[in-house]
Amino acid sequence: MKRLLPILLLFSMSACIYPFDIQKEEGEHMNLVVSGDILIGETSRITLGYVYPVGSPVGAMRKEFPMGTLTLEGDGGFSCKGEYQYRGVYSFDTSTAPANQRYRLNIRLLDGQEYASEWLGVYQAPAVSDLRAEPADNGLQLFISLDGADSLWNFRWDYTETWEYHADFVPVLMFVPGLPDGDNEDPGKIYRERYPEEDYYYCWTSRQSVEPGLASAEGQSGNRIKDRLMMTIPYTDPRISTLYCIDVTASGLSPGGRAYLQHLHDISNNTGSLFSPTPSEMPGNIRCLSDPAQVALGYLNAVQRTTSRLFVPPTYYKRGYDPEALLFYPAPDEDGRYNFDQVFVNDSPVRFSGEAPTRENVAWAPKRCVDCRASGGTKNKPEWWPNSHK
Amino acid sequence: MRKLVVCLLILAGFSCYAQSPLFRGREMRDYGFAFNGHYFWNTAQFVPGTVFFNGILYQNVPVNINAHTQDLLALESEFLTPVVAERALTAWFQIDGIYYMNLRYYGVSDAPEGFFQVLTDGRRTVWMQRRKLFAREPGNHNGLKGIGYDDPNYRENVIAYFYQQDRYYIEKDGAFKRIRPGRARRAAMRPVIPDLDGTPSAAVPRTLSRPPLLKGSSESLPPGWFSTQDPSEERRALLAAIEQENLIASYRNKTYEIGSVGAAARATVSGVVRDVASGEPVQSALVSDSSGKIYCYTDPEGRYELTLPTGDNLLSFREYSMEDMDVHVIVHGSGGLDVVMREKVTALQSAYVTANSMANHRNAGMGLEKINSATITHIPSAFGEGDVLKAVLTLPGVKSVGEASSGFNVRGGSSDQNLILFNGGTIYNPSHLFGIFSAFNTDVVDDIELYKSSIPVQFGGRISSVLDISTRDGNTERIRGSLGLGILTSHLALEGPIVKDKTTFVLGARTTYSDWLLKRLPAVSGYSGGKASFSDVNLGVTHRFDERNTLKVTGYWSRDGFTFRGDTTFRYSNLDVAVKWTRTADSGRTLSVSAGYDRYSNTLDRGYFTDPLGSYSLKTTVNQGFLRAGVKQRRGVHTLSWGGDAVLYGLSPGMLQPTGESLVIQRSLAPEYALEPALYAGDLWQPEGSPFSIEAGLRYSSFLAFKPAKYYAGPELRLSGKYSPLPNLSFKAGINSMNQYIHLISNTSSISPMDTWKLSGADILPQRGWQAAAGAYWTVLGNSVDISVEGYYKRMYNYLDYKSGAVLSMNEHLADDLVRTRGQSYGVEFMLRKQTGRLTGWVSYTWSRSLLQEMQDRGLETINGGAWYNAPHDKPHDVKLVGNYKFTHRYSVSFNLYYSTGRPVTIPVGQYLYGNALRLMYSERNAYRIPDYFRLDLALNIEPGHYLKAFTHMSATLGCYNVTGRRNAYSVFYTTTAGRDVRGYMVSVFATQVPYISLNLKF
Repeated sequence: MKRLLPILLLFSMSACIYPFDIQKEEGEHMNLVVSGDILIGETSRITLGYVYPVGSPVGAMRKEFPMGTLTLEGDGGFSCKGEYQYRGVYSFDTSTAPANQRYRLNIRLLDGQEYASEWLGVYQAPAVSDLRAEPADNGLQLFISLDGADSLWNFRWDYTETWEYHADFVPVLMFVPGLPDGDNEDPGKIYRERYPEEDYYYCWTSRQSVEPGLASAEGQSGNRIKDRLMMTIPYTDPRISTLYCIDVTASGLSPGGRAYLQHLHDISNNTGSLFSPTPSEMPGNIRCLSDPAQVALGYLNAVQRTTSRLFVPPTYYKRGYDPEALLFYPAPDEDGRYNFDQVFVNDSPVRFSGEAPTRENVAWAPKRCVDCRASGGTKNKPEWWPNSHK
Repeated sequence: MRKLVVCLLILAGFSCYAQSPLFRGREMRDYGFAFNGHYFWNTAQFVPGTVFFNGILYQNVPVNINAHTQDLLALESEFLTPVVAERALTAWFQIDGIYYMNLRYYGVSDAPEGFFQVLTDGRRTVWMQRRKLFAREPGNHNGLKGIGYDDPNYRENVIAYFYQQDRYYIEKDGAFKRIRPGRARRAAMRPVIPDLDGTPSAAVPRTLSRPPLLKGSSESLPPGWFSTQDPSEERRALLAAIEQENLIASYRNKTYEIGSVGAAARATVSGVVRDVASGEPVQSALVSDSSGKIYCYTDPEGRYELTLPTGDNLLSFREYSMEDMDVHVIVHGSGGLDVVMREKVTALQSAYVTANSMANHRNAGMGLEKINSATITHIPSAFGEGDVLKAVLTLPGVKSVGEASSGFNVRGGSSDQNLILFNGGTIYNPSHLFGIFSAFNTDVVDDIELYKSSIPVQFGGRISSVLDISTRDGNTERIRGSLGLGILTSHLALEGPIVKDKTTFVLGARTTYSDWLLKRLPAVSGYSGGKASFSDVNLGVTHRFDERNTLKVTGYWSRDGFTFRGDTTFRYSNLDVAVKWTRTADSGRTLSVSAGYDRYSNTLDRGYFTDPLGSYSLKTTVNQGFLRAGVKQRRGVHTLSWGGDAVLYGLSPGMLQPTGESLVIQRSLAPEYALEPALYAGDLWQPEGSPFSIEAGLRYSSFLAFKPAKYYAGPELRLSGKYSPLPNLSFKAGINSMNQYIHLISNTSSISPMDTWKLSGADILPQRGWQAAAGAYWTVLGNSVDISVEGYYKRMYNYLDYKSGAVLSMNEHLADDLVRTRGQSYGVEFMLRKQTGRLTGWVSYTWSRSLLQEMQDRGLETINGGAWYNAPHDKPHDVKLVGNYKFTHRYSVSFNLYYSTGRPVTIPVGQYLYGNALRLMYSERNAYRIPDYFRLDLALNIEPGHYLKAFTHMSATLGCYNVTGRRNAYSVFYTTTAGRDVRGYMVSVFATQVPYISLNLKF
């Protein structure tokens, strides 16, 4: 009975969410989308795009978008024209834009439609009072604490993760099937020694956050937030295998901007539960001047930003597999060939003892065990990376 | 089976209290079944005896005693026909030299009804009463105990017989007490020859309150002495003497005389109808004459009143869970007649709703649905727990946004437009465990009435419907109880007398062990470590001061709490206390006064671990006190009702408290106070013999909000009429209007634990609505099948919807985030119901629409551009089939089939890149629908066996909810996986078959 009851409950409760076909819509793009912020003190990037029918391939949505002119004006006389970069991105040189002005973005599309944002006051940057990592049961947790400026009560943070990792083994020989022997190809010769430049042991990679972190201190006695969980990294995650770095960019937000982004997050991720609010579209702060019936999506903010960086050593990393278990000894087929390409492409032997590699004295490994690039990284080490790994 | 026998035995016992008229007819007793042995005291032969009756000593009269009913029988002299002597006028009689005394005649009020031998054990006087009890038990035809017969209701053969039981009593400390002497002591007892020529002396305990005045003597009964044709003044005087006493009719096909002979052509007969087993009043029983044109329904205290022509009448008493009762009455003048009915012994009283098939043709009101606890417990439900709200959802015109959702929607109204009354108190959140269970314990629930169209004038405050739920009175005879065990919950109920025949109690409690269960779930379930629990307690105490005054005190408390993942905890609680006094005056006027206090509070604790500086506890509370007074009186063809009520509200819309090291500022939204008084008057015009009847009423409700002061008021019309060209065919139409001054603040589809309530004020207008409805009702196939069709059109104004991104909690400017909408709903409900036979149940089909439209023009932000849009509960097609097939008395199968159109939802129609993430753009509000809903439930019901002497009775239900295992969608939703890919999901609450077993033990 003790076992039966939980099973009965599970029977009815555990499997209650199922995939559901997306109702794909037909047709062309719909509303204009304006995303990005006016970044005072640095280069701003505003992206124009469209709403596409749900189910459209994401790649197809990243279209070139040189379809109009964008200008940024300040109520103190500042003016800047956007320069088209690529795929709808316009850049503005706002590195010298004064923080004591209000700004407005004007958009004129090639089809004649004109849009404009509201006048936007500049929000000061909060201070990152603490950025730290702490071990927990389910992984390494990263927390952030922010202190707002005088009138700053709403916060946003984004981050860029950069991490160094390495392959499991350093190979001695490289698997190159059908290596030429002079002018002739020798099917039996399948390896050569590794050149020095073929050092694929250390790699670096980087990625940006997708969802902005949002927090509000409204209703609190102090305009700061403490120990907000940004993410949890499992202990077996390669990100913390060698050296991990997170660069956090924090900025302030208008109350409307925070509500808009929070609403955007909620209707994209937090729907469907028993008590979820009915999803709906929340108006942004961009209006179509030429046709009030047109609705543009997006909410611009004019902000200053601050950054903070945290390195995490591999103290907590636990390798989730045994690379030794992936090693194997090669065997030729009936024709005496090593058809590894049937299984592994360009895989490399990693262990060699004796003068001539034989089945017994060479252990081979998949490429991902000896070439860090196979996991998505590159050999492009950031200039500011603090160690001497190559 | 046992229940029937118990009922019969108690029925027999109950008859001992009867203040019966002199004549009971020539048929002595219609037992309605075969039995072995006889019910006479010693011999079936009538022997000469002496009777002291009404002050006259009759000698050498052939008499005998029915020990079963404790009646003196005499052979009328001319025709030698056995008749029953009026016990109230019989002092004593003597047979074979043994004296039998009616101690009650002598004023010993605490003595049992009946006749006693006077004995002595050498030390003191002992009174002995011999009783013949009736028993039935399974057995063969030729059993030793008695003869058997086949009862069509039972699969087994049954033996029925009488057995003897002698009871001994003494007087001790001024009280009449029963003793149980041993065999030797009984053998030592000797009869006492009392001095009965006017002074009984030691034969009667205590002081005589009614001296037996000897007015004369006779050698034999005079001709026609017990005859209805007896025109003598003496008999008239006797009838007048007992006229003041209410009669209690306990046997069918008997003749009862009411009132003294007068010149009036019509007279009023009134009384109380009770359940013979429990003594509880029977509510909503139909009382009618043989023509069916003169009728009424018993009120919650079981009272009825009819104006009948003098002379012979046949009164019919019908109540769906009770056996039919027909009583012959000879009405001489106004008087009383109390009636006892016995409960039907059927496996499932699944036929419900009205007293009988013809009820719809007699009632001018429309849209009244009734359901009782027996029906509820046999409707298959998830986890086997009988559920009031789930049973209500099987009725046509009642919908919900999905299974396991709190609240319900009636004829297109929203869930906050239903007034849910529990013993007069308002229940603001009627669900436990997110809507899986309702807040009402079926163990203590009596009748449930849902008014979805013609809402009685005494109800107000909500614009869609009234769900009136009341708890039972406790058993007046003995302590009884029940215990139920289910997969997730268990429940216990106790009831019984506190003061015999005066005060009863009923206590019910439920709890769940889902906490225990959740702890044992594996981590992969996602619910491990969560908590979810609820409890509720009901207590009711009923005190009858006398036949006319009753006081009922009820209390209800419930609490819910749950946490799933994270550190957010929801808690909410209901508390209701009410006291109700009911008084029935001589003129048949019934006065009801009730007062009470209701409280609903919910609390959200959040962020203690994940956001220490932002952690808080948020609490909202609704307090209300109410006072209601109403009078109902019948005057000729009019039944008038008038009264008033007032509700005093005190709302705390939000109290925010920091927890731990939180920096959250403690603050409270301004409390809201308001008074909602109302006056009403109504009349049911019901001319006898006319195919027409009209019920009309006017309710004037008002609302005074304090701080800032704002006053709203308005009339509410209630009008309905009926035309019945044939006894089994009627047409009805009605219209009513309602006002609502309190609003649910929620932007979820169903009631959620964090929903709050808000009063109307300067910036929030009262909701107003009206509904017009018409219907036709036809009863066919020997009154066993009802066919009905009802259509309605409803309009609503100032219903609140929400702006996108609305902040609903701790919002000082909440009105800015709300939008007012107007609503319209319309539909047709077809229903076919079979109430008798092995197969009972109903099938209904409803086509309906429910639409909303924003009343303001907010430009681009206007919901759906100002066009009509689907309400969240708009489900146009709805088919329900509920039934029960009874194989035998003990075994039956229940089934429940439900199909409906999927409810409207708002889904994404577009996607776009915003920052680094893929975002969704949603359609117009409620422009799409989730997949249609279909579910089939089955249950096997096993009722207790026939073992008469068992102390406990076990019943069991084995069932399966969602037999087909269909994954019905509660909702569909879309997410952007890692911000880069749109995926659709469907939430299905019960995505597979849910088998269950429910055990119920009654004792």
